[in-house]
Order: sequence, then C-alpha cells, then structure tokens
Amino acid sequence: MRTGLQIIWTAIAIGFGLIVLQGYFIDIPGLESLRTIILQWAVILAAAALLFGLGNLMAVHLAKIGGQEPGWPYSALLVVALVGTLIVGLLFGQESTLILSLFQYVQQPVEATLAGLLAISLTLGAVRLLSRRRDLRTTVFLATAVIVMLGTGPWLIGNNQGFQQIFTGARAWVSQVWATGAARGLLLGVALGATATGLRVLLGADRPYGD
Amino acid sequence: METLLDPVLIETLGTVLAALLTVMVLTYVLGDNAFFRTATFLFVGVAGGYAGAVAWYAVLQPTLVAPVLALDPGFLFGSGFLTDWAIPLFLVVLLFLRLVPGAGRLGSLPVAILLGVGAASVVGGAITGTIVPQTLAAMETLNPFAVAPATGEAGLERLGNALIVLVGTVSTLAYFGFGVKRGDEHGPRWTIQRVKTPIGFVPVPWPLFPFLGEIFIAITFGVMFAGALSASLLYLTERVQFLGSAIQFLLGGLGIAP
Amino acid sequence: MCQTENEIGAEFCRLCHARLPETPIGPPPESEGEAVSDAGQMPDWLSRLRQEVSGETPSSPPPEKPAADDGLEWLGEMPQVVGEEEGPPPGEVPEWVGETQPPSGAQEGEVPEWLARIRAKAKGSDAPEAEGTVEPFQEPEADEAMAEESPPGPPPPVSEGAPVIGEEQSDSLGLPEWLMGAQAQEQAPEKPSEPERPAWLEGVTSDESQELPRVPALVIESDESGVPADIDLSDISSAIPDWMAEDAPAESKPDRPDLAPATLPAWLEAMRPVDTFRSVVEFDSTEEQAVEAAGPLAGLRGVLLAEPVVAMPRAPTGETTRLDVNEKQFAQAELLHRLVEQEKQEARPRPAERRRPGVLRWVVGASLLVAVGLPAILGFPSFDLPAFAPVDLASLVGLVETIPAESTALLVFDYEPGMTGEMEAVTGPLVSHLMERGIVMATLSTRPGGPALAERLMARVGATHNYIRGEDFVHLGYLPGGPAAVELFATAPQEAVPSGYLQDPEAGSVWESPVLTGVQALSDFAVLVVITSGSDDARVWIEQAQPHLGGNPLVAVVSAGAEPLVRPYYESTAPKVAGMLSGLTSATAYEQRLGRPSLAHARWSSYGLGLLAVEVLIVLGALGGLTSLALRLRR
Repeated sequence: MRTGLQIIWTAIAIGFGLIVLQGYFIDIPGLESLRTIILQWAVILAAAALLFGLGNLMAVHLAKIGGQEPGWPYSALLVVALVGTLIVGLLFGQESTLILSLFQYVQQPVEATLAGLLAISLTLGAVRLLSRRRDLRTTVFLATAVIVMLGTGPWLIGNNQGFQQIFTGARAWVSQVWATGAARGLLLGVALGATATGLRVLLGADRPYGD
Repeated sequence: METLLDPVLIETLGTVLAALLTVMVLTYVLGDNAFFRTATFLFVGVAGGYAGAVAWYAVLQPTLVAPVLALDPGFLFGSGFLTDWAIPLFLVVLLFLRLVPGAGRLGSLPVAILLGVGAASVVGGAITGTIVPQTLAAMETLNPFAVAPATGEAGLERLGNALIVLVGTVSTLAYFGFGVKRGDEHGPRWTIQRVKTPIGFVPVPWPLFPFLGEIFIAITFGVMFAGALSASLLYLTERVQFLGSAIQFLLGGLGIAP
Repeated sequence: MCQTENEIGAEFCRLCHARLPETPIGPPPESEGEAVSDAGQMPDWLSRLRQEVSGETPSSPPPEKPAADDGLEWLGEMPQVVGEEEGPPPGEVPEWVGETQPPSGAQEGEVPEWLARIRAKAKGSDAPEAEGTVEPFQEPEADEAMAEESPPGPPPPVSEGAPVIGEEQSDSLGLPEWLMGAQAQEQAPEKPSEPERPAWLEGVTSDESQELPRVPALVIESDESGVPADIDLSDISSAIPDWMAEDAPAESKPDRPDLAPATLPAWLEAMRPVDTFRSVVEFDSTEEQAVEAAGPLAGLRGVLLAEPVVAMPRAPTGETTRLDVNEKQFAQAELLHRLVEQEKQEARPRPAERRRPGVLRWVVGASLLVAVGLPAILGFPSFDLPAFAPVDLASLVGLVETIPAESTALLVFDYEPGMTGEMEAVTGPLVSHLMERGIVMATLSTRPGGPALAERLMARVGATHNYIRGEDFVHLGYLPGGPAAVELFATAPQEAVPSGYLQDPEAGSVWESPVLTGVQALSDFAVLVVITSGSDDARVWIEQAQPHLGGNPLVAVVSAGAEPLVRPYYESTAPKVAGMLSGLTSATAYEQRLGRPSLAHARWSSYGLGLLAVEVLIVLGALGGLTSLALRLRR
C-alpha cells in the first residue's frame, strides 16, 4: 500500500512537473491550458500551505505553553497575537482599518527596528573581524567594504574633492567590474544547484513529499 | 465596528504603540531582555496572523468560497467547476488532512503537486533565465567590438574590464569546483607551492584559479557587506527619524510645542 | 558470560557453568587511588565530578568499600570515591578538569558553569546571586566550606550514612541528587535505626520495589538567562575590549556577526558559499543512503540500518537464554540506563550561549544611534548632496523617458515591511518620475505585506501628483507560490490574480479598472519594475517574467546589499535588466534631477554621518586587531 501510494505520488509529481517544464522550452499548444490550470492549483495550494504553516507554528508554541517550557509566556503572547490578528483579519477583511493598523503600528515598526539593529551587529562584526581572522581573504573583504563605503556616502569635506572622486571611481570599478565577475559565477552556481535539486524531484530521485 | 473607530484616536494610539515597540526592540543594544522578546514575539504573532488573513482574502476566499456563495449557475454547472473549484478544494482538504493522524498519507498528493510544479518552475527558470544567458554573457564579453549597453564602454577599456569579469566568473566556479573533485569541501582550495621559474623557485598559490576565485569572492562579499551595512543604516535612520517625529506628534497633541 | 547472579566466592556460574573471575573479598583498598583504579569501576569523569562537587581532596580518608556482588555496585559506591591521587594522564582530560578548584570565593568566577549551577542548587538558592554580593554568613555551605578549608589540611571526614551538616539544604554536600539517592539505597540497611535518618533520606527506603531515585544528575537545566546563578563574567568581558578578549572563542564560533533574531537577510544567506554550493556538488551523496523505514529513526536518511541486522536469521542458541534478574539488579540496570540517558542529554549540543553584550557593543550601538540621530533631530551636521550621479541613473532616467505616456506600468513590491527605510526612499523618485510622465500603474506582490506597502508608497508619492487609487493606479494584491506563481502571472495574469486589493466592490473586478484596460498579457505592461530587498526575488522575476515581456524593459530597484547579485543581469551584452536603481546616493541624485526632494534628501545627512561612524569604527577595529597581532608576535 505504502509503495503503491509512493509510486502514485511520484508519478503525479513527475507528470505535473513535466507539463509545467515543457512550457519553458517547447510549449505544446494542447498542454497550454492544462499548464495554466496546474499553475493555478499550485498558487491556491501555496496559499493554503501558508495557513498550514501557521497551524504548525501555533502547535509548536501551544506545546511550549502546555509544557510550561522556559519562555512559555512569550509563546502565549505569540499565540494570542496570531489568533487575534487572524480573527480580526478574517472577520473584518484584509483591508479593514483595524488590521491595517496592526500592520502599520506593530508589524512594520518592530521589523524595521530589527532591521536597524542589523547595522549595529554588522558594524560590530566588521570591527572585530581582523581580531578574529587575519588572512588574505578577510583582509581583502574588509578593504573592499571600506573602499565601497568611502565611495558611497557623503564626505565631511564636501563634494568634488579629489579623494572623494577617487573613491567614487574606485567604488564603481570594484562593484561593477570585479564584483560582477564573481557574482556571475555565484549566480551560475546557484542556478546549477537549483537545477540539480529540481531535476532530482522531477526524476523521482528525491521524494520529499513522503509516502 | 469599523465606523466606531476614530481615525485620530487610532493614529495617536498607534503612534504611541509603534514608538514604544521601537524603543523596546532598540533595548537589545543593551542586551537580550524581556522588552525585546516581548516585542519580537508580538511581532511574529501579528505578522503570522496578518499573512494568514491576506492569504485567505487574496486567494482562498475568491477562488474557493466566493464562486459557490455567488450561486452562479454558469459556474456551478460549467466546465470550470471541476478544474477551478472542486479539484483545488479537494487538494486543499487533502493538505489539511496531514494534520489528521492516519490520514496524513493522502496529504502527500497536494504536496507532490506543489513540489513537482515548483521544481519544474525552478528548473525551467534557471536554465532559460540564468544558466544560458549568463554563460553567453560571459562568452560575449570577449568580443572586442562590442559596446557595453549599460555603461557605454568600448574598446580597450571595455575589453580589460570584460577580462576581469571573465576571470572572476571562471575562477569563482573553479573555487567551488576544486573542492568538489577533492571531496573535501572544507579543506583549502589551494596551497602555496614553490614553482621553478627562470629566476628560481617562486612561491605561488596553486592551483591558481581557485586562489583567484577566493579573492574575487572576498571582493564580492565585501561589496555586498558594504551594501547591506548601508541599507541597515537607512533602516536605523528611518526608525530614529520616526521616534523624533512621534515625539513631536505627541507633544503637539498634548499642546506642548516641541 | 550469562550475567547470572552468583554467590560471592563461587567458582563457576550456576547457570552457564563458566568459570567466574575471582572476586576480591576482604578489606577494601586502603587508598582512594586504588579504589578508583580498581578494575576501572569508577569512570574518570565521575570521580572528577564528585571531587569537584564535594570539594574533597585526595587526602581524604578512604571510605569503607562494601563488597561488590555484581558489576553495578560501583553505582552505590560513588560517594565514597573522593578523589584521585594520581589523576588522569595529561591530555586525556579537558583543561578545566585538570585545574584545581580555586580555594577562595573571590575566584569563583573561574568555576565551570555547570558546577556553579550544581552549587547553586546545593545552596538551595533559587534566585541567581548578583556578582559581588556577600551574603551574611550564617552557616557555611558544605561545598564552599570544604573548598575553603581543604587546601591547608585534610577535610573533616565525611560519614557515608550521616551527612556532616544536618540541614536539609546541605544534605548532599553539593552532590547531585541521584548520587545521594544511589548512596542511600545502598546504605539504608546499614542504618542503625530509622529515627536517626536525616530528613533528606525520609523519602528513600531500602525497599527496592519502590520507585527508583530520580537521576537528574548531569543534566544542566537551562534557565532563562542562560547565566549561572553565582557566576557573572561581565566584569571580565567589560574589562577589556571584546575584540581583544575573543581570540580563542573565535575558533569555535561562527565568524558572522551576532545578528539580531529574524533579521537574517537574503544576502547573508548567500554569503555562505560552501552551504550554498553544497547542493550543487553533493547531490549524489544521498543516493547511496537508504531511508530508515521503521523504528524511531524512521524517515531519516543515512542512519545505520538496525532493522535488517536484527531481523537477520541466526543460528539458535543451544539453551534458553532467559534473563534471570532480581529486582535489585533490575533497579540498578534501570539506574544505569537513566544515567547513560542523562549523560547523553548532557552531551547534546546546547543552544548558542547567550552572552552578555560587551562594552564594544554598547559603544558601537551608541555611536551609530548618535550618528544617525544628530542630523535627524538637530539638523547638524549637514552634508553636501551628491554632485554627480551614478552612471546607472542616467540610463534609467533615459529609459523612463522613452516609456509612452499613459501606458501602464507594473510595479512589483517584493520587500518586507522592515525594509521600508531604504526601499521607499530609493523607489520614491522612480515612482514620482513615472507619475510625472503620466504613466498609470498596477502593483503586485509575492509577499503578504506587499500590497499594504504598495498602497503606502503610492498614496504618499501619488498625493503630490494627484494620482487617485482606482483611476491612476490599482493594486492587484498578493500572489503566493514563488516561481510557479510568477510564471502563472507571466503567462496568464488574469488567471493568477482573481481579486485586487483595496478595490472598490462596486467597481467590479480589478481587471475591469480603467488602469488595466487593454492589459491581457504581461507584454501589455509598458515596463515591469521589480522593487526588492533580496536578490532571490529579483532573480525569480528576471527568470520567469522577463521572457514574457515582449521586449519591454524590466527595471530592478534593489537594496544596496543585493545589488551585486543582480548586476550581472544588467551588465551584459544582452541584458535582461534594462535599468537599475540602488542605493541612497542614486536616489538622492534622482530626486535632485526631478527637483522633488523627498525621503532620500531627508535621510541623506543621517545616512552620511552614520556611514562615517561605521568607517571610523571599522578602521579603529582593524588597527586594534593589527596591534594585538603585533603585540602577540612580539611577545
């Protein structure tokens, strides 16, 4: 039973995948509408999966609350906030003043401040870097970062000064030429990796959907 | 209820709440503390609830609920009923069956569809959008008569820069490639070796391309780091400016001229 | 050997008739060292632990060793082993174990964390003591008293049956509860009388049928703070700069800076080349690994296949192998099992230690807050605006100028609400320019928060251009599903987005809006503007949507951190990205060119001073690192 189901799921994943994949290369006319329907299902399932994920998140934190694990009051706060926001959103709609206020006055400020704290963390990391690692790679990394920053921001001594022009030119050269080469290599590597992973699913070698 | 909400009151309370939460998160500079955790857990909860509501109203409600509630005979008895409503609803139900012990196996069907379609999209997009075009772009850079469309460079200047880009691309790929062949991805990609030259033995990093790749990658990460730092400074700036304006707003509301 | 319990002194096993090893009968070994080294009955770590915890010194008088009747007797003897005379060979034990216990309380900061926790438990103090606080001396705690007194001379003899101090809190002499439980189980029958038993032993009887003593021994409970109760290293960490103090830990800790939770940006994920590319090169590794199909490891790949080995047919043994254990043996086996389980738990990697921030963190934080705050609040200092625009900007402005007026543009808002500080400032001038050109716009997002962010920006910028929602711009809303959804939208936009966002219900579907009149396919949009804070989103839109644009341009507005990974699509002889806008410098120059100073102008000076502070701090840090290196080399 288990093996039979596994074969069916694998066949479905491969079949649906191939129908979508052919659209990138050959686009068989008869399959065009079917491909669109399948992609629509994927969009609907993705939205449902988001709700499913929220359920998982709640389950994890409810378990923490139930077990009185360390930090469970925070989990309780999270669950209350999640359920409350979801109920408000479902009752009054995603365009209601209440839910937009929650977005504007709770979600956005906290997330923006967290992102702002990143400036402190990154600076701290850069300040400590040469104390922790002293090798060629680290030195090049740090020197590049400083050059780019010097060529990016305004200077106290004003514009059009010789140093700023030099650093602005250096920044452009480094970021648009030197960095672009490695970035292209990185992009190719990422694309190759994504292709390999995707092909494993399409060939049935990986079956992450279970049995 | 919506009409009962006074916009001014909401704005005032909201500004106070936002400023308070901002300060609570900023206390992380002093160390992890209860204020920071309270704000972040509240944030995760609100963000999750908001995302769920948006997903419902943007996709699930209009595709799975609204067509039925509309009781449109053209839809209910039309050809699209099965493909646009019944099957997607069935798949969604199966997906949530994963939560039910014993019935979870059936939930693998929507996951298989989701993964198959997702994998195909990734593969198709990567090949047609990145692998082929970027490989061609890397090769075309050596054309001496080409003009860079973005910067307008031409001639030797463009050719020199194009060579740097090409070496960067190849060496970056070589940096990872050598680690693979040796089967030791954590080991050094290159070592300093003494190479015999007409002027004697010279220490040279060898193989050369992985060494160059490491340098190029360090440069690229340096540029990205500087960019990320610049961006995060802007996030911080926006927050500090918000706090300033919030204080002004609240003082103005209290009749105290800032 | 069949593990059958045999009588002491028996020569042959009564069941399997195998010759039994000679059991030492007679007086116990005279010295502790002998006790420890006796057939390895006491694991080194356990004896060291006991020595650490009890504060006993090797010169303690040897306890009486009861006769062993089976291999698990050592569990009951643990409290009797008070130390090692010779100690383990160098190099076999961790450095911290080899160190002698500091005799004075002033050096308690050097005590390992787990020991401090155990001591804190032994003290019975729930709340962690503040550093430097001196409690009024009432009665010396057993471990501290012994630790203080032991160096000058031998500690007072510790009786096994009766604790030295009759207090309940000091009952265990700092020993873990399970050790005391095991001890009590063995020693209870030797008690002279029940009433003389201390209070802590009341719950423990010699009846072996009762529940076993709990074994919470070596599991260090993680409390909220993650800081030991009586240890505070803040003085140590604050005395010297972190970058000087953390040379050694740098080896074991990740090199990335300690990020705030939930703020890991996409570019930082990309900065892990080994992880990123491991999937490229190691996809064959899992093929050879079967998936466990049964047991608690079911579903895991690459585990040892226990089931086939167990199920493998074997030759039957000659006689029935019934396990003949009595309750005592069972109890001791259970105790050993728990001990091993607890030991495993202790060996599990603990979550990342939550360190108290050092002075350097405060200095950096304060510097940056002051730097960005001064120009924002006081208006000082003020920096000159950029005098020359980046090369990319000129081509982007030229591109926007070529877009036909009153055509429709599609703006994709793919950034998180936390990134508005940068993205709104950078995107603002481009949207303003499009509005100046009279181009109507539709917005879309693959993130739940995107539609609200789109409305926020469009409303703010549109207010200065008299753009009205529903007439001059509409929101298509949220599109979940990643690359597949983008592909669907690229091939069939109206199928992908069934309803809009903030759409007037009376106006019908968003696709019936005047803004989208005539838009049937993606190529009907005159320009596609992808506004994103991460390179992944930009890549998805470039890969999936650009081929369907029908030659119309795709413009990428990206965060400065993601720019390098988008630029290869732009710096190409056949570019997939026709225009790029990134960074506050470009945005400020854009606003200057448009003559509409806005958010970029407002943040220019704060950004400038903040960046200057960062540069100074990094240079100082680098100089500090080089100085410490020079000092070390000199030393």
